[in-house]
Amino acid sequence: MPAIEIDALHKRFGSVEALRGVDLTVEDGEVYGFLGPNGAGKSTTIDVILDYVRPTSGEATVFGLDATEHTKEIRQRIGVLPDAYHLDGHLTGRQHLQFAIDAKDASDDPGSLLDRVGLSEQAGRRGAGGYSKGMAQRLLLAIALVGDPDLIILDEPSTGLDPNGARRMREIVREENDRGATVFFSSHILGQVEAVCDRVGILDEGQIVAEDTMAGLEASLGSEAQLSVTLDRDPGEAILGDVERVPDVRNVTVQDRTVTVACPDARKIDVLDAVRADDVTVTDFETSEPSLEEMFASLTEGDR
Amino acid sequence: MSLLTLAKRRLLDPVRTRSLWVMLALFALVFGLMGYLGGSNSMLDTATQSVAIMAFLLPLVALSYSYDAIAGPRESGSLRVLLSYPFTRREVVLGTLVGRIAVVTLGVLAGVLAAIVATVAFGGSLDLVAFGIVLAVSTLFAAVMVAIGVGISASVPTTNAAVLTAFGSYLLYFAFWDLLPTLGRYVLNGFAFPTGPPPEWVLIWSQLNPITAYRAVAEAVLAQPPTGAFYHTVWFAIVVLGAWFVLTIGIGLVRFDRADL
Repeated sequence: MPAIEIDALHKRFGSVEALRGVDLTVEDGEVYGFLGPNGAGKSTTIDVILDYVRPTSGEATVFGLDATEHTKEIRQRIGVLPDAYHLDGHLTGRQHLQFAIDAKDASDDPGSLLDRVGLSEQAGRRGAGGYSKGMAQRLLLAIALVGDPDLIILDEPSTGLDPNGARRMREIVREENDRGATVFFSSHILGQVEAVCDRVGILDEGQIVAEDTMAGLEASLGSEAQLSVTLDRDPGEAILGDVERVPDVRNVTVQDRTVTVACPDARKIDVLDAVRADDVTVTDFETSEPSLEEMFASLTEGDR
Repeated sequence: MSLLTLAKRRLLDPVRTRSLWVMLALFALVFGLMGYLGGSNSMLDTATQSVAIMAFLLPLVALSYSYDAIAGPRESGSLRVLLSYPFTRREVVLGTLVGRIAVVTLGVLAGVLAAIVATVAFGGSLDLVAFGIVLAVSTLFAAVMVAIGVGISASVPTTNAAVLTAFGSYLLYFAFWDLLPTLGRYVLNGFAFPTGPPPEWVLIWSQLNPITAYRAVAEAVLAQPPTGAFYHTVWFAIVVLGAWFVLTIGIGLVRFDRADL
């Protein structure tokens, strides 16, 4: 049974359509990265999973339970680091953590949880009103770990964390995953997701535009490598036809003395041969493997 | 279990922010002063006087401890942390209600104790039964006023909306309640002031005010139960208080349950 299943989810706030048919599945035991630019609808999707907002249509289930019907059972089994939260300032970090432990009827030791996220005992005794954003994120991460949840949902967990904190967060994600927990976390920065995720889904303008394993995404990027060939003179438009005859090439363009083409690695030599056949001399060529970052950008900024 | 965990937190909030001590001191001061006046003036019935003070003070304190109890955390985002725990929305509303009723009950208790101590200290005649009645009926009234406040708090999305609605309710009960039927009769009368004695529905409307109902119950139990029309009986007043409790918290539960937070 999938940990999270979202089916044709729509959410409208007044005249704004925040989610326009989101479908995604988070399998039991995986680390799933939920990517998208700010405003894509990541938090709204998570808010539906947590029953903070109600869907306009479509549905979300967690462990096969409807997210709006079975909130209590679901919340008993999940740990959450929500976005746009506020910590009551009159409670200390430790009191916040103890409340989460009581609420879940768990038996965790607050001290060792604080230690695990890198908050000192002293920090735990301070009022949470004085916490920096990074300390608050660490405390919320500790709270999300209470009761060894089956599913951990982290909404933009790296916000405000220094590099050490971000590394600690990734280590904890791995440790929890090794324990058997499913981890679902959102980010607008691909680099944070790349290192720990089994699979990613990319959300843009309220729709999933790509969903694949990291390896699958990288493989599909391989076919998108760009080859630029610089010639000794302007070859003219005639060269276009010759290059386009090479199988598997796309997006052939000529500008001044440079021919640019998107092709799989295996076709690069064929492209060079096709260019040379046109009675020009190749002075230089370079290939670029677009990073995941670029693909992410092209997927989510293409139509803006 | 969940309800108690939540209620305990909502009871401890005012302890931790220290606002509880201010409230307890206020009650002790006001009722201590009244006990002093009662002790030095045998003409004053301190129990009846307590009811009059409670009728004014309790709505103010109860509303100020409840109007923000759900709308505040909802607006700030602390509800987003709370609701990630195994609580239903209904439990959040009811837990808040129970916790804040407990807070205001402490105020009632402090007031009655201060009145008793001051009455004895300044040589007044002490009627413990009467003070027991004041304590019991005032606690019920506190619960109704907290239910109104929590109901409002659960029904609106922001602190601003909550404070306006709660303050508006207070003004309605104290200033405008009996003006509304007059206004209605004025309009019905073709925009001319009505003449003659008020019709019966105006008298019934007047008894629907929760503060009037509280005074009616307390005075009926302390002195003689009134006789006359059904809407002047103590049972009618009790039903009015019960209806305010159930309806306001019910509206809050339904509206909060349907809201996007």
